[in-house]
Amino acid sequence: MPGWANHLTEKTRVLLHIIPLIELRQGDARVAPSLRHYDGLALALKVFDLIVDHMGLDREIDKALVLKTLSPMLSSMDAAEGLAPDIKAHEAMTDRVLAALRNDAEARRPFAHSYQDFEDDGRALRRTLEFRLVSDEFHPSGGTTLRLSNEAVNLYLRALELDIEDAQAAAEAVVQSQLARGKFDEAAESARVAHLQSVRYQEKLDRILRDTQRDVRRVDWKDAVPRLLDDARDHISTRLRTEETIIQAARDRLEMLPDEQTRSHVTLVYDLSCKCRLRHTELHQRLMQARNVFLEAHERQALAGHMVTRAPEIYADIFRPLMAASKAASGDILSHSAPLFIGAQASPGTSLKSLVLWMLKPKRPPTAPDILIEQASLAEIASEAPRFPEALMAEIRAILKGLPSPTTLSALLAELKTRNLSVESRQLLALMALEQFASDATEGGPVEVARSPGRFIESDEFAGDELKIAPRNEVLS
Amino acid sequence: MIDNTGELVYQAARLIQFGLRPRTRPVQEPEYHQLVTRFLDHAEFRGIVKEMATGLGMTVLDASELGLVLGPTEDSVFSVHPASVLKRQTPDDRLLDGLVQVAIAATVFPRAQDLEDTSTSARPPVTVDEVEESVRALCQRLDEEAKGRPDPTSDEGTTGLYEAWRVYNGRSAARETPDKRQAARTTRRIIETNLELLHDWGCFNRTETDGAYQSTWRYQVLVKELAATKTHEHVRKLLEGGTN
Repeated sequence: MPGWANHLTEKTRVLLHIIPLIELRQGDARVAPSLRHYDGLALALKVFDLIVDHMGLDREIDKALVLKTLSPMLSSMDAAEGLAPDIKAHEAMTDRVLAALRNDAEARRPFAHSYQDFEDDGRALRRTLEFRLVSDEFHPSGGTTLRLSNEAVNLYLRALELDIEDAQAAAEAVVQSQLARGKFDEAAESARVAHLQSVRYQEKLDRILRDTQRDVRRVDWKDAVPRLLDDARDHISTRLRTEETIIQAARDRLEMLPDEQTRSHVTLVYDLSCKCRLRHTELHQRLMQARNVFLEAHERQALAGHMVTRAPEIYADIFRPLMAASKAASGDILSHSAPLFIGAQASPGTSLKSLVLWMLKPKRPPTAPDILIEQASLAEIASEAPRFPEALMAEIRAILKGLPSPTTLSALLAELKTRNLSVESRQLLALMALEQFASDATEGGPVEVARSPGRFIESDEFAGDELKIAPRNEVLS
Repeated sequence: MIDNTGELVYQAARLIQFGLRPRTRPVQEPEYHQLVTRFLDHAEFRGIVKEMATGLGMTVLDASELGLVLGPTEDSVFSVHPASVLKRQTPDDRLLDGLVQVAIAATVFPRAQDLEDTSTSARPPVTVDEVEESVRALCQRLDEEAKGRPDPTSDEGTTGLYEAWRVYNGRSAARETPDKRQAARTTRRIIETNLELLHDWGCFNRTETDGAYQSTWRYQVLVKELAATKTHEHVRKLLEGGTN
């Protein structure tokens, strides 16, 4: 558009990157009173500086290191307000700064800001720029470490220069900065990062070419890829020049440095930069052949059917349908899919050593069951639980004791049934009669019991020989 | 030349062996570090490793200074048997284990864009509460949608026609045993057990924050490059088939 040049759009995009920092500063007035005297912007820039200084080093930059680095500044701000240093306030402010830089409020998603742009024909349109400043990245040691995005590195080290999203430029800017500051060991590690970035750049191009070969429609060969290839050619030319500068600077330093260890760091910078230069030369050749890949893939796939491919949204596209599906269908899919979340694993082989170690382990105490157990009320009980309640036993004992004249067990059972006493009472009566029939006790019981030869119990509930029962001291005939 | 090829094949096999040890990292093993660097730098070696992995029933999903991530192909001997992941005894419990695995992945990657983000960026840690809340919220929505439809019969429960969400909804979130442990069959305990299982397989680390689990680079690569797309394919086929 007349009056609006592309570099103005680029500068607008660069300026948008400082919005999170401005918002952090503006938020200083809205935080808890105990934190209001801290300057969030100054602390954020110190965090940037800390991360740049440690880029590529083995040490992880975690919250503890950030807190340790910011503590002197925080204490100084405390002193300026006449306050004693408060570690809890320092921790809270460190959390606040890191949260603002990582965009914790939006689940650490990229910051998104819209801006005004103009088409070539003068049409105004709004675009959205997404970017990150600081993120938690996986560290080779297994934990996570704070990293600056390429945008943040370029923002911090190159201020308002253009090409803010260039990862390679970011990595090499760090190398140059550290070489200039005499931080040779850090420079060596940063050169390694720059080397990795060149690997990633190559992978990015490889991925585009691979995607093109798989499905030409997955890659925008009308606008995006030609632009990317043009940019890549410019990028590689610039990188080759920058790498030449770093190689030359490293060579000059090598001639001046007397210390062997420092020389080894600079030698590493030199070697890695040479490797980057070699890779970029190879990349240039691939770029020359890239358009042929597209033309061949297009010809091959012209008549084939295509499916739109995009990354699925796990919650909406996978989890929700699985929850809404029947148990059987969902379970079938999950039995196939669940192992994929684990990845390839070697099944453990039989190991005699493991077996022996397992056998030597002390026995684990049994795990208590998960079922709810009713808590019994605590009471003294006999060692053996009685089969019949005490009251019933007293009742039957009284019946036997009160017998007016001799009778039979069958007659007594029939009487209890007539009186509608429970079957339990009749069982107890039979047991008591048998007990008296062959009693171990030296003292006599309430009744005399003898067998009635040739007769059997007349009852539909009991069977066996009939017993004659008489009050004690009555003679059983 | 033959000797060189033999050496490359040997090194490729060594690298694959390291890739099969999820808790081993290049920074701990100089040989692993050298092999990964070689993989990244040399196209010929990269090709041999990929071919060898394919022959063994695996796919190289990603490689970096953080290690090599291998995914199993269909029916691979390196695929974990479903019974090792879905360990519980009843079909309902196994279903809940599987659903929770997907729910954990959905909590780590709540949006499609998150799956397209770089794998080396650590996603925010997840907690049992977050997974539970997300699943309960979905159960509530599905419950509201189901209002007005006839209630499922007991036969549907036994024949598997009962919807999966009803199984989750029917379980309480938490319950304590008399000795103050969490009952094993509650949903919170199932989520915790699955996070611990993923921890054992090198997919999550426990964080210093109580109860939070940090996904590892390996897990993020597995979900992005394999599990999400494959599971989505199965779900799409299910929906296209119109069976429920």
